[in-house]
Amino acid sequence: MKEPFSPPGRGVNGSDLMELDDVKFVRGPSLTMPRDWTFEFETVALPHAGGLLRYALHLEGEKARAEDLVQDTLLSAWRHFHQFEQGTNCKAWLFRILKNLHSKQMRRMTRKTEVSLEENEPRLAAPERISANQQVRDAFARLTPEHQEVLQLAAVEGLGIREVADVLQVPQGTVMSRLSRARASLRSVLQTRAFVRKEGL
Amino acid sequence: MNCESVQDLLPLYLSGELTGEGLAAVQHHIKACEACAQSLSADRQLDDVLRTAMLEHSPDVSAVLQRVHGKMATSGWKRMLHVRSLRLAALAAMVVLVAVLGVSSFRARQVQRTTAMAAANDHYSDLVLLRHPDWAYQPDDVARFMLEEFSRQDLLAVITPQGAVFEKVRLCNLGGTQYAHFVFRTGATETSVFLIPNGQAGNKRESIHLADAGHGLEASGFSSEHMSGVVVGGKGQVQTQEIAKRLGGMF
Repeated sequence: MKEPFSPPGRGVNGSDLMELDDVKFVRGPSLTMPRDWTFEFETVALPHAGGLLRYALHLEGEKARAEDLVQDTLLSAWRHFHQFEQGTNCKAWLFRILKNLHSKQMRRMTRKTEVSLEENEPRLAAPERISANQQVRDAFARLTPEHQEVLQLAAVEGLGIREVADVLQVPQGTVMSRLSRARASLRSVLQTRAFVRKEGL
Repeated sequence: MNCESVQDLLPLYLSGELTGEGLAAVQHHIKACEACAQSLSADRQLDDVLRTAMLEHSPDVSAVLQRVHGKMATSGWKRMLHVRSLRLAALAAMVVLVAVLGVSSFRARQVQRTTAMAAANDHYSDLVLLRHPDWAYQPDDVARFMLEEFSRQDLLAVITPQGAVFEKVRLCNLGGTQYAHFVFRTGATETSVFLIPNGQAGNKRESIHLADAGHGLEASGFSSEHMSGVVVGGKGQVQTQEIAKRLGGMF
């Protein structure tokens, strides 16, 4: 050990610092290393990637863009995972992020491409040649985007009414009435199919 | 409750969000009203059919997951930047200084002293003034860091002040230089020990003792080519020199 040097009476301020004129200070923010959330994120958030992609496909209508949206959503969620309130529904939180990102993208888009309803409207395939599930998907595809969205979030992905309202940024009452109308609509399309009568819907 | 009100509440009932009186009223009504019970059952069945059909046709998510994993692995540092940007802290700057400067003996002593004072400042601002409630750390991280940088099993015992108990530790990071900040407690008194890997260049072994490091604190430090360590505690209350000496004996 070398001699201890303790200039008596000298504190942080004053002459001590004067000696340091020739020392170049490297200044920067002090960053407390955050808890490593990777494990929690992988177990709590990533399992919802499938649901996010289904929803992104509904919003984007095209796989590559939907995948990009899901990627942006998950990375954003990962960066902000410390803000996720443990114990709340992570799936709803992720869907909210995805919807926000998508809305931002939409606002940024200067040109909005007009889609012809005629061309876009899926045709109902002949019932005898397709599966019951395909018929349901066809029927679903004939609903308005608004009805598809609310059914997808509530019925397919299992989000609660409050959570759907949060994702869509509309009042709960709106979600409930929209959901009722969407169910009625889907039922009405399905009732044209033979199998529906069999299933008793 | 009449059928119309029940129909209004059915979406909430189906999603399991109806509680209390509303839930009881709907349950009661459904038992008595076959039409509403059928409507509920039909909605439930419709949801099931739709869910089954949609899930059967789920897109393959493996490609996007792979991309996300790749990004996560490479952007760890960026992620940290997003988490919390604290105020400028003197010690962090000093850590970089200690770690990157190829210092002469003379300058090393300056750095030593400045590091010790900066450590005292950090101790004062983080523990005495702000009392950060959320020391963000994960024991695994600290353990990994300590194993990599200071692979001595008995290190914790060495840096624990007499009569004190280990309270908490965090990893701090600046510009890729990490250091560990340990806090020990003796009654109401807290002592900080800062351990910084990669000490000064060269084989110099330096020690320092600041009997007055400001804020009513004293600080003692030791550094070798392997590490720098600074101990900060209440003036005259903690044998900071003793701990620094023990560190010196170890590294």
